Amino acid sequence: MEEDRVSIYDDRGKLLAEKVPLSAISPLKNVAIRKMLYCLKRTAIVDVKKIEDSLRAASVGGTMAIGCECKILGRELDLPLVENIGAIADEVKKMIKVEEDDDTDVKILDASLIVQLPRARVEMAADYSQTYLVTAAAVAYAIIKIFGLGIFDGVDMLKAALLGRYPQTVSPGGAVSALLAFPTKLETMGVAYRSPTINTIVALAGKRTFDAVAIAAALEHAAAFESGNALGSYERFQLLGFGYQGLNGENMVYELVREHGRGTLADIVGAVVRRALEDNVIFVEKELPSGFKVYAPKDAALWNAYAAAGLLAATIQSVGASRAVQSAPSAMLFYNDLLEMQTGLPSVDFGRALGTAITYEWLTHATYGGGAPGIMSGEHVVTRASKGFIIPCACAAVCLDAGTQIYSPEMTSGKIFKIRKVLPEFHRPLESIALAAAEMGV
Amino acid sequence: MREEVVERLKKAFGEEDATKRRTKFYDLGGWRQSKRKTEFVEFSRKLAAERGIVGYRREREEEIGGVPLGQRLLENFNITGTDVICEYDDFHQINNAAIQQMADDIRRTAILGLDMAHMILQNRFGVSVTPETINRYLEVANHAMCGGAVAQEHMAEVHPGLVKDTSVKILTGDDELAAHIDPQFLINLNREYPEERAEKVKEGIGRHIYQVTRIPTIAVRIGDGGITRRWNANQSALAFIVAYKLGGGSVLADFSLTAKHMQYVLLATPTWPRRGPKDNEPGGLPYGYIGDICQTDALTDDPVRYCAEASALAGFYYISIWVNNYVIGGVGASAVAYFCSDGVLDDFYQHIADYVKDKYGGFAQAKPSFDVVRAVTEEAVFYILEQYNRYPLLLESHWGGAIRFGMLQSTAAVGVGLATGHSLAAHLALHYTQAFVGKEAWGRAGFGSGDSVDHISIAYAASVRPDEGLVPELRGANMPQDSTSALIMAIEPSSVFSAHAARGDPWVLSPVVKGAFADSSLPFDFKRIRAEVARGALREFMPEGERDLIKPAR
Repeated sequence: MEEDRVSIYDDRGKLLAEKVPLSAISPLKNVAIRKMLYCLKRTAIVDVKKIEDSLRAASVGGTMAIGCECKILGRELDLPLVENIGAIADEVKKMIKVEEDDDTDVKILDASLIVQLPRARVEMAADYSQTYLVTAAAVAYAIIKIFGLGIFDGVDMLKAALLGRYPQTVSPGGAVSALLAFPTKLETMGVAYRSPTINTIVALAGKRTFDAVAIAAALEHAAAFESGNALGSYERFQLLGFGYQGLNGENMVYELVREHGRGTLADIVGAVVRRALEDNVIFVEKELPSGFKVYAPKDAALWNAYAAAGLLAATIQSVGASRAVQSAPSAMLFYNDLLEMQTGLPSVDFGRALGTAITYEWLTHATYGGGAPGIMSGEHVVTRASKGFIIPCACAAVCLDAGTQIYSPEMTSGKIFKIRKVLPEFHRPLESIALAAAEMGV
Repeated sequence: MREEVVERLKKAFGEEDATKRRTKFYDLGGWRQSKRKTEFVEFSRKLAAERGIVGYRREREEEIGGVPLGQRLLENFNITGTDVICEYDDFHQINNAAIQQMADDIRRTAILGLDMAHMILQNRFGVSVTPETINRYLEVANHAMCGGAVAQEHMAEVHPGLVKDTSVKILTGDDELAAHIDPQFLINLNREYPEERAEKVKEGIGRHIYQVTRIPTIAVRIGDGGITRRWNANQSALAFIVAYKLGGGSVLADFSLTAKHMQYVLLATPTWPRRGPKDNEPGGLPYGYIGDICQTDALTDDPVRYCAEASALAGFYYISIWVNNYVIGGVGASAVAYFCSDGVLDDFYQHIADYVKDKYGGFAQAKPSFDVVRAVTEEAVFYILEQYNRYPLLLESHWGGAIRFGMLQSTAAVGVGLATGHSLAAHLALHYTQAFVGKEAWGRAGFGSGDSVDHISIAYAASVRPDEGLVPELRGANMPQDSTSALIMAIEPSSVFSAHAARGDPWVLSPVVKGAFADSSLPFDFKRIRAEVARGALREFMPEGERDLIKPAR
């Protein structure tokens, strides 16, 4: 059987890659996606200013996200770390590199270090916790060396400034962070790529809607491969969904938004069904005496891809109109609901997306939450149930938000906007993935 | 050793000469010598008839097999600082309601920063937050926290009598604001502490506003500490809706997120999966908070007394509740009894405190170094081993190596803490004690693997390797190497609170936690740890979380 192919378009409707085989956009093969994933796994962020400030105030080991309740009197340590950030970076690089000319990278960005572990370490490790741990240890040794710290000169405070209460508790909480959540924070396994929050993905994409969608979709579907959710018939299912929704396959998302941007959800539902009918993806199974047509898919995976593209378009339409992200879960909910009720067809991800949208809507609007839409992540209990099809829509919605969230990308992931500038893998992700696919997709 | 301590031992063992090396106290009637065990046997006989299945069968110990109890003297204990005499069964956490309440009062404490919540109100809703609105919120929150419905119809409410220990109060370092808060809703630091200490704690807290919630004891006894954060967050969010007349919608989730994560102070963090519990359970509580929760420093400037009370708290919390109730179950390690009775540990602490004052000219005067660690540890070890050598009764009372060694370690740690005011130096002393006794001075072997943690911890103490060291204030029973010992987590806090007591610090790890436990309306009085446990031993302590209102009268 001939392999499925998909054409990828950008956010202006311009063709980027024509009829590339699905395997060319697989996270297993697509070079641009693999570079993104590699970057995520090996990149740590060390907030040197935060280390300096927390040591000076002896405020380490706090548990609040905003503010710090702990202060260990008598253990204040005044070290000019930011002033010496260059020397710290040099020492860190010396320690973590494996070969002289390997791909270790330590960049200085304002008062932070962006540390990237070399390929030899990434390949050696069983998981990516080393991104936190090796980095923290290297920074600790660098500071100890540069400032000649002895045992009673606050080395234990330095450790706490870097990693918080770890290992008294199960995850680090200091000045060292990474793009992926620490493994012990994950809900179920193999879902680390789903751990960046929606706000973080939006920041990584510089708030460009289709780029955020591309990153989010790449991560979601990569996690599906890692967690055993993209095998057998699900491999094609996931990749088709990725191509059509995540990469604006066949320009469907763009065209739906362009044509129905000023319309309603129902217009998009109608348009998706019409297009699927024309493309022979669905058919009218029977017509009831009332005249109500019951549709059925000829190709369920391809129908899902069409429906998923429509879901994204519906979200963009709704949030684009209000410029307020809070409507995104409801738009996702009612798009899927209408689709099922009006056609008899399965909604996106066979009900998973609808169920997820209901929970997402509830827990972003209730005291039982939750929180604002942007603070969720793919593996969060609220948003995890649909693997690949909700988070890209949520990212698009946050990109279009005019600043209505209290916990906005700028507040929760402010540094990421700067960090993305030194991570070329995330500069034009949709285009990069398309070009990488085109290169191999003959 | 002080004469009254020796006299107390003589009385406990019924001996006239504490230095005598022969005794008859192995011929004491087995378990029948114990009033408690006799009571247990009689009660169990009645229960067997009622239940139709036998349970506790001490009277048939010969038939059952195993160790016959009472070959040694089952000595009684005087809980230090009180005139209460009890048995070690009285220290079992299930037999002592005060120990249970102590743990419950920690487990059910939620601390929430209100600054963000107020910012959300002002920025998202444009409403003013004033002392008047805060008071209104507190009234609603106290109603909601008791299980009263505020924003939802047809929700089942709770009988107020079952949750009468619930409260929501304000903690702030801002006197001006505090003056406008309804006194019933305020943790009044000016009243709880002497003036100078109150000023320091308030300065530490600053002008921030915290909500200190005690969810009902019965809630954590049905669930566990994991419910505390959620109970507080949900009911607080509902109270905000009503108090500030908010509509529904996405802002509610912002409140919830703020209350659960963004400005929530987690007293005890989650533990590793092998040890199970979620937050607010003993394994996750950092050692530093033992010194903050203990409020004896509100009563006295004497660091020795404060350290002795804090040690008792550490013992009951980590041994009785964590080790006995989470890790082991069933019978309880009785070692905790020896850390709070007969004035022994107080005597050891006082001796080392006097030594430190003489040698270094006061507390926190010595620069932390291995020389100080070695000198103070050596003095603690020599003094205590001399007492064991001189008084066989003391040796008999402290019947196990772990107990005796715990005394050495705790005293050495307190000594170095008092000398240097530096927790890491004290922490090193605690573990160096084993090296000193085991390798440098006596050549004594370890006891039942109890020394394992010491060999490891000397190497770990100042390590910055990720899974090894950590500043002692933040360490706790979930530190992997500490978790293997049944005793070490009860001793480790001594290296922390002694250092800060020596410096005269108003708190150990957090001014917020210090202030939160200053509330003298709590069921368990954290100013008088040992006296409260003594009331529990006498069965005079009235715990909360009882079910009398919803069950038949006995």
